[in-house]
Amino acid sequence: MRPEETLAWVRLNRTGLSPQRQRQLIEAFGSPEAVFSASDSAILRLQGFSELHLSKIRQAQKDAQPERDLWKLERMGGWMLTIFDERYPPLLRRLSDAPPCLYVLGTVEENDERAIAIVGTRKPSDYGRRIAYKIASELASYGFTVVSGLAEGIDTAAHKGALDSGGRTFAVLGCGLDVIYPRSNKELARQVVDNGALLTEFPLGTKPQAWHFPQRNRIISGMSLAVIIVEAPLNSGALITADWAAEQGREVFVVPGPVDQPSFEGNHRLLREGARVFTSVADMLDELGVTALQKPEPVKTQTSPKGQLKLPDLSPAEAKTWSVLTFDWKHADDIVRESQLTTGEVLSALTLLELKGMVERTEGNRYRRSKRWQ
Amino acid sequence: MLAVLESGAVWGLDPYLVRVEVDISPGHYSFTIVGLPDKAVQESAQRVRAAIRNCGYDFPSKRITVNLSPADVRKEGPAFDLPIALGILLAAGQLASFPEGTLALGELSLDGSLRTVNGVLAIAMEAKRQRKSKLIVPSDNAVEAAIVDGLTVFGVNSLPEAVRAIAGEVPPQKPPEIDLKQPRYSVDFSEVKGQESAKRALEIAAAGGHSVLMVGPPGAGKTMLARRLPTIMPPLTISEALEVTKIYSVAGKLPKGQGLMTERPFRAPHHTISAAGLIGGGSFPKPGEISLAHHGVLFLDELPEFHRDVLEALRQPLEEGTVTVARATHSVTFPASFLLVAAMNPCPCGYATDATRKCQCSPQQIRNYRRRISGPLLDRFDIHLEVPRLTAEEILEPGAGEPSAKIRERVLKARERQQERFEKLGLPINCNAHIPPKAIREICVLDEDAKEILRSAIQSLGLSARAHDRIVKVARTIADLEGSETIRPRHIAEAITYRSLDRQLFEAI
Repeated sequence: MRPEETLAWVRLNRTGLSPQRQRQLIEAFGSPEAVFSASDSAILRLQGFSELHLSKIRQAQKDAQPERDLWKLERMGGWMLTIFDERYPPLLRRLSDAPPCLYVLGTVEENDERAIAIVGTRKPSDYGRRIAYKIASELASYGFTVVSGLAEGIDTAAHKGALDSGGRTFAVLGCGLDVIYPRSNKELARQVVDNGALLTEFPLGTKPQAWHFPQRNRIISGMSLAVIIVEAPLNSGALITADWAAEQGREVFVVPGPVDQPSFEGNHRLLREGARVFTSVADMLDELGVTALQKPEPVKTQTSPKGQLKLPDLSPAEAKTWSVLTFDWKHADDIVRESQLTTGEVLSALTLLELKGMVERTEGNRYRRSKRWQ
Repeated sequence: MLAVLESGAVWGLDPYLVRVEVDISPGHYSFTIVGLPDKAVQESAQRVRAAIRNCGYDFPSKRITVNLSPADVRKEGPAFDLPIALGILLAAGQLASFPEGTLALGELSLDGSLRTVNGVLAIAMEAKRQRKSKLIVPSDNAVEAAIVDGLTVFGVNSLPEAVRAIAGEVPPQKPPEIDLKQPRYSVDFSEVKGQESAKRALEIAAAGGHSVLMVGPPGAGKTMLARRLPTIMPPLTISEALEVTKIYSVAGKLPKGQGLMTERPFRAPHHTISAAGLIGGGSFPKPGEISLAHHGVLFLDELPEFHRDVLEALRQPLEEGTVTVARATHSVTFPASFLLVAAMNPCPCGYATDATRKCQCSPQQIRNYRRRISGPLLDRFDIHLEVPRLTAEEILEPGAGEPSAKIRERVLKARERQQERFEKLGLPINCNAHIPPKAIREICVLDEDAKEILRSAIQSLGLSARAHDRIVKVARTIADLEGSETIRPRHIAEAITYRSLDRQLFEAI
């Protein structure tokens, strides 16, 4: 794309008109460049356009910011994915409110049209995190691109799951490409760029505002074949994504959770309202009627090494402690009680096992066998 | 007619003797007190006059001048009532004589009865040092004063009784029996069910004098655990007990009729406390909470809620064991060598790590909350302890815990090992937590495997390098509890588990 062309897209994006209005303009004039060279009367002749719309267009035309954006986008290695581009997600393109262009950092490939969204709360339970991670890594190993929102919690687990099994993942942002939110996921964002892309319809420098996220969610569901709700309390943004998905005609799969846990109340409401229940990736693909691209071999070697990995040499206290540990988080006090060792012995054994990579620790003084051994 | 007798007062924690000179000259009635008296001392005139009359003595209607010497130190409080009254009686000839080497102090009420005053123990100790022989004090202060060996203490209830005491008609107070070996605390560790790792961590804290930061949801029993920490610390030595009692006496916090404080103090100031309340202050400087916690435990619940300047003020005392309160006109140093225990919730609402309750906070709120205690403040704690909330069944679980006395024995043994080592090296410290940076290598000898473990832990577990020294000191204490001279892998490995807040555990999948 010529720089002038890209600049016109950025200008159009910066007008602040709704995606529908922007598309109306492009359809009427053929390209953003043509939109900006059109006369006032030509624009006002379009259905529903008023002086207000016109003034927004003229203002964006005079603005110097898009040029700076273009320069910055280039410098950070980003690019514009327009609705005319054949890489533009076909499922998304069909929607009336599809963004005419997306700012992208990373790569978009043909296979990425086989995308599945995984969403959920920012403060999940261990179970939710584990399931999100597991589903994502399985999907990625089947050749699907995992779409999520780079938020903490379920989103993070989903991205990590896809990345760890060598798959691809998209993160759709509620802010500008140059504003990574939350900041704690900076490193994760970098990895997503290397193995997928960060996408956003918001201009550079846009701060994350609360009302951006529901809008952003329509892209997450819109570009995906199906949406999986892993863990959502009643006020969760994931439920908004589920609403979008239903409106857009996407299947919504919901992971069932413990019925007494508030962070799953949204899941259960969706199930009651008739959403599909998620039981396994295979069942889900079956229901969707899509087939896997690849054999899920790499996953096998990564997540179930029981037969192949031999236990390293352990001291008696380490061996005893190891035998009490499971794949669920356990508090140190419970490990002490079950192992019948002294507290000091157990604590030192846990650190030594952790250094050997066999044990993981989380907040609240809890431990479990590490993923490699699950 | 001039009468001279002696009394005592306290400046900060430092006692000094005061000469009370009373002169009665002919003239119109007047009553003047000189020698930098404060309001309470000036009002003494009214109390003394009423008390003398109401006890049936004659109050001389002449020109009365009282001088409190040294005249350049400001005097406060009502403790000079008794010596002034006795001085007037003496100068007026209603009292035959006042024996050499006797000190009197006490507050008079209008009917002539005596009330308790502050700082008696400190004054008694000073009296002994200056070879005085007798002390007349309000009877509620008598036990406290009688701790000082070789001083005859008379506890009296009224002005007439004080006069009789001078005449030798009142029996002296018997010195209290002191048993420091078996302190009597109102709480005990045997009442704590479960919480094994917390108990272990507190045992290590007591054995090495290590500061502790507890993190856990409301209802995890953080306060309950902290309150029991003094019960497993070594019993106070006699000189420590004297210091503690002296501070409480000066602060007016000594329970009525109490002699020596034989238990280690536990102080838990509320998080709205001011810096002056915490470290001490006032125009007549009084010890603050940290000095009241001297040789005991200072517990700061809801640590992130404390004002930043208040926490900042803790820096000097934590490093030096004393605190200097400096004002424009004076500065006073109070002892403040305490074991710091703090507690906080994992998030503002408290339920972030709890499986059964829903946390109401956004991740940003949680991060901000935790950031408040980051960096330098986190560095003050040797041991990080995550305490779980117990379910009803767990609290009711049968089998009582180990009694404090038993844990205390192990702690005492570990302390003795440390003491021996410090004496050999000529270090003026009494626990591992206070090992100066220069002496760490010499005192904390790691075997090769232990070194390797520490190295790889710092590399792979995301521990900060500044955690290094703290881990080594805590490992030293763990080895001492086990009676091992070198620090072995298991000691260092356990010490590493107590640095959880240095690690990025909170974002993990």
